[in-house]
Amino acid sequence: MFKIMRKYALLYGMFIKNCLIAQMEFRGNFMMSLLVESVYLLAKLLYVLVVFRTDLHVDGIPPEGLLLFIGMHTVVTGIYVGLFFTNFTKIPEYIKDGSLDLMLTKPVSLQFMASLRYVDLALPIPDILVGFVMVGIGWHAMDIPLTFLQLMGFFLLLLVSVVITYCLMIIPALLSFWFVQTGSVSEIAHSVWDANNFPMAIYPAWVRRIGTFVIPLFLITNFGPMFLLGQLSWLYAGLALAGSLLLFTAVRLLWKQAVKGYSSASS
Amino acid sequence: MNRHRLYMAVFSMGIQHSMEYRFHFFLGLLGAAFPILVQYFIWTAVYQHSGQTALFSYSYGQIILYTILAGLVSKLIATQFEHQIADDIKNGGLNKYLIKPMSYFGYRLVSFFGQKAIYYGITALLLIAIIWLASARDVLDVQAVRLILFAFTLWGALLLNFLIAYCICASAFYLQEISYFFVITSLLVNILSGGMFPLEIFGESVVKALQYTPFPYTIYFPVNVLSGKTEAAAMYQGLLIQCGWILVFFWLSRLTWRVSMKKYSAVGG
Amino acid sequence: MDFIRVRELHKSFVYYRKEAGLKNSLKNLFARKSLVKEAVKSVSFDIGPGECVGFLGPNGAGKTTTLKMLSGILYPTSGEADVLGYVPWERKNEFKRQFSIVMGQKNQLWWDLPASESIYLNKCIYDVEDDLYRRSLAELSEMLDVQELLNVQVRRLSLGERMKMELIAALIHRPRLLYLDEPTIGLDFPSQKKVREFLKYYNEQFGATILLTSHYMKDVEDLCKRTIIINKGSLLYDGDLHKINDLFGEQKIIKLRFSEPVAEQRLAKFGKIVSSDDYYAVLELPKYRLKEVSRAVLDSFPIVDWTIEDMPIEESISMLYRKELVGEFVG
Repeated sequence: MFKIMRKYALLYGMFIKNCLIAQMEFRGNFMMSLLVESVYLLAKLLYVLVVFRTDLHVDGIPPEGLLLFIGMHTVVTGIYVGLFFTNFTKIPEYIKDGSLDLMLTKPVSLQFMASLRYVDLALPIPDILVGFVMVGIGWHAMDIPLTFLQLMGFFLLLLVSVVITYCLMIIPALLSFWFVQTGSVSEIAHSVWDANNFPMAIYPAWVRRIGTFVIPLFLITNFGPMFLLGQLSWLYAGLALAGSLLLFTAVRLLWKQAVKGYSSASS
Repeated sequence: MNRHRLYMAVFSMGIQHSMEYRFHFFLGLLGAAFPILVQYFIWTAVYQHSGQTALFSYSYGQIILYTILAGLVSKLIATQFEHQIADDIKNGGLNKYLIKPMSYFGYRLVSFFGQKAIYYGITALLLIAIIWLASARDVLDVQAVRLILFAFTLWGALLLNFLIAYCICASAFYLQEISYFFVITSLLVNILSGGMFPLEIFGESVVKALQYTPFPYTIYFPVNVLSGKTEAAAMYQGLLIQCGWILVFFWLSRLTWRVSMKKYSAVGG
Repeated sequence: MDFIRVRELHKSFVYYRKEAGLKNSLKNLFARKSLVKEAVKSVSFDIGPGECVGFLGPNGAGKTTTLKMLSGILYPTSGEADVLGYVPWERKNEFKRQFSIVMGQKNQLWWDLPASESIYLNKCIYDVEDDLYRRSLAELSEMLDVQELLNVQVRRLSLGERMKMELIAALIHRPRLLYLDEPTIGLDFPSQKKVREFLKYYNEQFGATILLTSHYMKDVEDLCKRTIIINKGSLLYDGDLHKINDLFGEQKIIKLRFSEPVAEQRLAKFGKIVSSDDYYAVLELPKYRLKEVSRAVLDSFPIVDWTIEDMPIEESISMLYRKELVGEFVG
């Protein structure tokens, strides 16, 4: 078990190193990626502008406190575009051009190879930077004590967010095992993604329930800040962790099913 | 006569193309619906909390109407040909058109309108539903003049947005890696056109400054003509300015392309 | 003991026919016409250790599908296979570590990186020991004469050089079994030759078993003592490529050149006319008629020049494709 973990950690390290070398090859593209993500970030910051200009309070949380949520969303978006986005757009290509065939013959997990091979080191920089700044401002403004326990809880829930992000956003890519055109599905997934830009308290109760229990989208950005604001107990944090692992197992099974179909239906 | 038939053929090819991707278009509409929904909830929270009847000079109903209309219009006027043009420039596809009895500009314009014809119809249907709903709820005071002017400015917006995008495409003659560039410009143009939020959120002075740019005349202006936020006099003035911008960009696109084309032929692409 | 044992392997898949037009697209939405294609039909063979076997067949014959089943990429519809003591489509890691597959049309090397990076990644994936890795890399790159190119980005390499790198990446873990799918496709003649020589050397030096598909006969002819010919999913021939002519009772070819025009119909009674114009004709006939026909032809026509040849192997193979007599010629 330990040996396998070490092998995968080693491989992931090589993936990162490879991607770094390749990205440094095209410095122009690197700068362009930075710029693109910055413009997207700018569009998101428009929401911040609206929040502050209207002095919006949600559930009694002042604009500075809302930065915790918007910042968390921005951080997770950065992690998503850095670790997963490139891979998830490539999975349909692997299926179409048959690169998946070669990966199937390697003695490592196919899901690992196909969904984590590429790491983008330019895209996440503006998001993660600005996101953490926003979280920091919110943290300070809401007088949240900076203790080890608080930090640990926050980073645990950030981990939960990353796992859920992986599980939810890979679904459009998984659909490409069955359907040819999935571009518009991932487009929809990306527009749903931005529903997380605000605390879920602004949505009606039924939307909140769907977003928490059916498609646990709201867990991604809400639980971290809610924990910091004292609205979430450790019990719920633990439940969220368990839920995310359950979700991961489900996605794992779905993946295996998809690959099984691929192996029996194609020639 | 022959010329006319040729353009008709390209136009109908555009229509067929859009028919092929109609499924994509409907999913795209669904995709556009989500940000509108999210904004709807945000604005609802904002107005509930502030307790004021008007923010940024918009009433609650007006801002929701603006959000929906701006979402629809930006979907309608969106251009998707940037990559094809860049491809034509980079891989020598342009040469085909240099020898045809049809200008590249004409081809792109006619095929763009062909592709948009059906969407224009669908958007019109959706708009009728929205206008009817809005007037039933007393958010919108429907006036025939405004409807007619809106229809006009919407065509104008389509044309203007086409011309702006076409000008931007000329940069493919000079830039190596172009796909990122288009993402940035289209998003920025959308923001400055009021596609995400009404321009008033940037403050009075920014709105004033933007009035001197072409961008508000693609989304912000047509939407406000319909919603009644634009004064009657400003409406006609705006229409004239929109026409002016169209002429300017028409001239600008010819100029940039002529200059770039010279370079292209000189290199012998 | 057999290395590879294949019994009654069968692969069919369903595909949908789409008719053009809006009306038909709507119809397809509700009731799609599904058709079954039999890609591989009850194929059986055994391959021993160290053998080098070539799969020959036209495009779409089922060569690649067979190879994919033997490497575990695809599940068969029915039938059995035992490769190195494993069922390939169970995809055990112990099995995967012992073979390698190279596809001429797909690359596993990353374009923007030097090949050495991708090769090193494979070393980690296959858990190759450090010193074995160093030794293999040195050996393979020397054999292929590409030591200098290992640290050059793959996209700067020529097609032939890229193929050599693919081979090193595929062989770095010293597989006992190597599958090659069209390894020389698109390569220029010297590169083709170099790749063939290398594979031959690798096969002899390390005793590795090689299974190769190609539609270039030359690949198979040079490398493999044994050839399996497949067409339309069925196995047509299994044996030495050079003995394939025996199947057709040793046909011979006579080429004739005339000094005056000769009408085609006058030649018909002497054998099958392969080609002819007024001054030139090619006839195909069984060996036993050779003497009689030669004499008759020389007597009755104004011959300037004439030759007698064996039937070319390509000709025999395409005759085999045309016959489609399943199982008839399996030797």
